[in-house]
Amino acid sequence: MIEFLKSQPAPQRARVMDLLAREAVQMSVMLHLDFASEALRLSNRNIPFTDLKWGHEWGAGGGLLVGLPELSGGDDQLAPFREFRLGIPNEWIDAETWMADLVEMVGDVGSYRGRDAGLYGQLFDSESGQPVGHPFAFDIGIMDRMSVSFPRGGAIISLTTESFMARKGVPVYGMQTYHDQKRRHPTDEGLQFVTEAGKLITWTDW
Amino acid sequence: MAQVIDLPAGLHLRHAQFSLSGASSTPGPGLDGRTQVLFSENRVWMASLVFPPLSERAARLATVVGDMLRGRVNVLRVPVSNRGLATFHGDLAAFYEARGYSPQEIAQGYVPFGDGVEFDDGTGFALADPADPVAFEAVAAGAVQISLRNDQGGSLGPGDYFSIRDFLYRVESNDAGKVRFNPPLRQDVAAGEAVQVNAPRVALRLRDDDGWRVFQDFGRQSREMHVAMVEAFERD
Repeated sequence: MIEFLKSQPAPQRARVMDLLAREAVQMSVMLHLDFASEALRLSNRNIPFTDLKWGHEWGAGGGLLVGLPELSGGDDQLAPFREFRLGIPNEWIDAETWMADLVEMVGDVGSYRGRDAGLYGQLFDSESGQPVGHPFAFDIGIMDRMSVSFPRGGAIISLTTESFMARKGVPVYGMQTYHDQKRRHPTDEGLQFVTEAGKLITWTDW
Repeated sequence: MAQVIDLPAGLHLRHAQFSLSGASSTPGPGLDGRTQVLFSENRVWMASLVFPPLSERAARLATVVGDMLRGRVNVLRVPVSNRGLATFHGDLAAFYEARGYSPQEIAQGYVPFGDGVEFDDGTGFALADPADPVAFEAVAAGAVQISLRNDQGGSLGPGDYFSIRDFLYRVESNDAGKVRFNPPLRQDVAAGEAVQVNAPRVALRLRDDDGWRVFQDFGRQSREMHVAMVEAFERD
């Protein structure tokens, strides 16, 4: 059985496969950002729904989510960053100190850095509009950096997420030199000629 | 919070066309030429409002509405006409006439059997109740069917409109008050909640900031004006 089906509840596997094989498939994209104060769960539907796996309500995006990243991956690629762009239109803002509040939110690194972020898909029955099966992950990672910009007419928050495997333990500037290696493993001469060769060596292969 | 502005009574609509617009995506056709389409329930009402040439007074009113709308910031609440459906607007006789009752039936206040026979007590079937229907039971957001209690709920036909909390729905079919409609319910509806059939309304936002500027054209007193709007979702 393919991995995708294993993650679906057994009674609904046939239904899920049937829906996927159709010419028109109703599927929503969902974004989960686990902020410390309150988890954000959005979807690209304009009607909220409750998933069958966790029982969470996925709210309508309401225009909040303005940019989704391109997802790519494969054997020969490093786990890349994803950048989500969250737009806040002017008419949503009713506090006078909204700019300061946003900057403060972005500055409160502890409330988001290292916390879960996930992009999921969910199939729906076209007739009833109800979810079928469990959500399936497109991308799972952790939140990293957040920045805010204030174009005319509102604000846009850029949020970078990264894979669990990305950039962990990477040396400063992303370069592992001969001297770095010697400091960690004094007898290792493996990187002796790397600098002279002028080659970037990619170790990871997941 | 956006301000909701009712279309003033002095500013009449000539037509209002509503279409549901949604976006789908596709990875393109396969080798066999068949294409798989991915879609989500992201349909929104797109409205095209057509105003007749305006009197000087109405034109001034229109500019005031434009000032209050502040481009796309605020919301315009627009009445939707259920053309062809008998609706009640304060004149009971006109309502009964539109429902197809004969003058005699209207005068006596009831309808006898088809052969003219009355009930034992000298009356007959009651005339239709003109009041707006109410939801028979609670319905969750996302549902595409609702049971309506009242004569006006049963009279809705395919293509007619009703609204709940200024969200607009178009009837797909009606089986004795069990109404199937599009788009799916925007919000939960409680049992007994009022459903507007006589005078449905919809909350709309301009499609672009300069959309209301047509009322400042020189031709506003001589030609029709078209305003493009899109459904507004925020509610108090």
